[in-house]
Amino acid sequence: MQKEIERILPSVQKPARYTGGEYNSIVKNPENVDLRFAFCFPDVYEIGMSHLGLRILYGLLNEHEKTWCERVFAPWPDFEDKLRENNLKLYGLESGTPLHQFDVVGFTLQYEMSYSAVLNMLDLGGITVRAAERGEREPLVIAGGPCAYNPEPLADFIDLFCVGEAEEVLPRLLDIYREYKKSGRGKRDFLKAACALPGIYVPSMYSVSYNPDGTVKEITPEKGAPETVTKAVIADMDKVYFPGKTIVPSTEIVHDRVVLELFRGCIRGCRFCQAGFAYRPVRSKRAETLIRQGIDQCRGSGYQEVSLASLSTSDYKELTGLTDGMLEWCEPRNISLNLPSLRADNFSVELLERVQKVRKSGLTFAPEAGSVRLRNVINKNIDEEDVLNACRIAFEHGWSNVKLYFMIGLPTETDEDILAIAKLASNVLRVWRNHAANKARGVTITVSAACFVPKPATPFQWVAQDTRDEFQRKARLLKDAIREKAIKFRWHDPDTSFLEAVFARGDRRLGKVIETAWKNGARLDGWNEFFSIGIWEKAFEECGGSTEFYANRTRDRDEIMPWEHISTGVTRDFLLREMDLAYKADTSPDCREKCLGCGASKLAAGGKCDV
Amino acid sequence: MYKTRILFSKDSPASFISHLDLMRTFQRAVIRAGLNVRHTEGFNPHACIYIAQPLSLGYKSECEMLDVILLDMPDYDDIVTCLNSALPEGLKALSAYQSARPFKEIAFADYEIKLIYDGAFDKDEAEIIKLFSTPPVVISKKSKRSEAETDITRFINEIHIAGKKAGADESVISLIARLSAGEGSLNPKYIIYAIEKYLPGYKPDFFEIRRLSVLDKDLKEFR
Ligand code: SF4
Repeated sequence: MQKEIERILPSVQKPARYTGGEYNSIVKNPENVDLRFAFCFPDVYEIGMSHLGLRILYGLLNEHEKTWCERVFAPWPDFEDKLRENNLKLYGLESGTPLHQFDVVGFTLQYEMSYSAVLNMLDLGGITVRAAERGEREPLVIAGGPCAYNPEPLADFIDLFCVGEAEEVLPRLLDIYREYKKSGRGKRDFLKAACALPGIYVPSMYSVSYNPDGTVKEITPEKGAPETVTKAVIADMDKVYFPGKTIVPSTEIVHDRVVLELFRGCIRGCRFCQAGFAYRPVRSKRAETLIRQGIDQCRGSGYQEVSLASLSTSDYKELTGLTDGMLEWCEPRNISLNLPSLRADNFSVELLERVQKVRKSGLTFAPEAGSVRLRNVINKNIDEEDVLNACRIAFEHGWSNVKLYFMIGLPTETDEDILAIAKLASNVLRVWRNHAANKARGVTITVSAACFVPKPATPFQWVAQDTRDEFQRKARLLKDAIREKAIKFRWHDPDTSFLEAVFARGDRRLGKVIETAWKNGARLDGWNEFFSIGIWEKAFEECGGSTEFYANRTRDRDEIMPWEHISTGVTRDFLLREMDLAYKADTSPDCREKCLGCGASKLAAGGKCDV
Repeated sequence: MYKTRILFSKDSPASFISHLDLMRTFQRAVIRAGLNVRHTEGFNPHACIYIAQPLSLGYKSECEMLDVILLDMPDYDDIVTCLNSALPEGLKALSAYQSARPFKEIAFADYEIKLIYDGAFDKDEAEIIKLFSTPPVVISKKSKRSEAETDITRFINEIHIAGKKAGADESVISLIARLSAGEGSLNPKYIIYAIEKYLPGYKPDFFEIRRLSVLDKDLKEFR
């Protein structure tokens, strides 16, 4: 570790965030590598290290003998201040090398609220923030992750986006980069060559013009750039790289355990869910692959907890085989197994008992909307009966903690729909009263309400978000309607969701706003203690943009979206069809029941979805 | 069941692992090392690890100790080798052995305290020793429950200068101090605080603390 860094560490909170040296972190000899990659997560260590994608790509890139991939996280402001005071640069944790000395700097964009952190990390790392002003000898700055389905707000800062799944395309991209580095040809040439790869989007090769009303008029690719960039997908999930040795942080992180990804995509088609559409087609790993990977990772890490993660875990076809196989290995070794994201409709005593054998934590359900009608609108086909039934089973088996997740501000929502949330929660309480195994222990039912954010690449990409006043009113209405003490109500104030809505469907004109807000002090906007809506409102004022234009406006059916040239494989026609059904409160079957021809199967191996 | 003690050192960057995190780190390391150790009961069982004498964040040490209970007959050399391949950078197992002595018998600890000055530093270091050999040296000292003005010389068994390195870029004065440990212990940072208070001209720009050894009440090395 650098002497200067060692000197400032005693004066900051949680210094272990900044030291590196964790078990299984990879240190190479810089003399023996020809490409230095900085994997940047624009949030703090504990959040970033909890992210499975980081662990996969870190392991994958380092598999290449000549590539050294290091990790960089956003510093907490106390550490940032010390870095700036002492004129030090943000560095890769493995080597301590300042960011500006890397060849490629890659950000993963998990949520819109991390955009200011991207700019801040570039700046702290000694890299020019705007791509157009960045020198030839400065690193190539790339980005990927779910926000890359609408990369436009960051177009001014990022040289190239990887849209979709990066495991196959990223190593290829780096190989091309290597050649360009050796040949001494310029960045421009490299970018031109790179955009031929699947899922690679070079924003500077597209020009955007606007109509007088502010909407997009035309998106024109430069010669050589594809008209539409279709996301990259992995064909065979059983063959795709998965790390056997994963980093074990020496300080506690949010998800400190082995995480197995059962499948990508989702058969459900909940209309508000970006991941549900954008990650299609469904591709699963075989249970035997997962068991092998789980055992490998437990052995290599010493973790004593495994969790199974996917969009809707209980839809996994080989779930019984997987849990049986994992438990057989885990139980004698004191390793526990977690199953998040269970669905109420196929919730069974058997499944519950399987989890309970090792662990008994709270139960979580996400009906998302209070009334049947509104659940039909969003195509969350959960029956209240199913939820109550699942709760009954849980209460009978000794659970006394249920969390219910809802959204407010969904399209077509009325006050009755809001009040139905309170009703559903009291019904759960009634079930507890009638069926609890042990009433003396009491019960806690938590109702969490999030503000709905319309996302690109979903059937609701056209709809207006509720205004913040309307959110406030609805939340108050719900709060007043919840009368029982055992039911706790939680909600977030709508400022963050409002900004998320602005950037989720924003265009490249917002680059100025992000830069201004960052210059005025926006940093870790995902953290309540640092987020200030005032900074952003002021930035919009200075740059002369209207937030309502992005958040609270209903788009025309044929409006050209700022991300029109980016494709998830799911067609616009399908999304429109789904939106129309939503407004009629008509549901759609899941992919297993009937294929709706969303378009994603074109990306699947053999043109068929593995549902 | 074989109660086993492991002697280990803690150096940079592991010196920034907090006491709680160190327990977690070892809980996982013993599993990676393939040691069959006793676990806690409950829904989230984990290896039982007892670490002696918490070390402040940022301090280094050559004499940390922890106890685990092994379920298999231990091969001590093997334990050290396996553990060392399972530990993060900065932690190193030095030996493993059977010990019946409880950690509470630890009565003193020796520390190396490096006072680091940017640039040349030519003041007479003997002043520092003089300070601590003329009681009282009163510092506001925190204990578990309270904070009180305390004469810290009561806790200093011995202190001397171990070396001095004067350079144009950096000068270092190394002190070795034998301080009370266990019940009524003195954190070596109070030595620095006392220097800052009584000898402001000797206030270091940075300091480094390393625990060298722990001793029982008869001043014999504790193992
Ligand atoms: S193509 Fe059919 S089965 Fe495949 S994801 Fe789309 S709707 Fe589902």
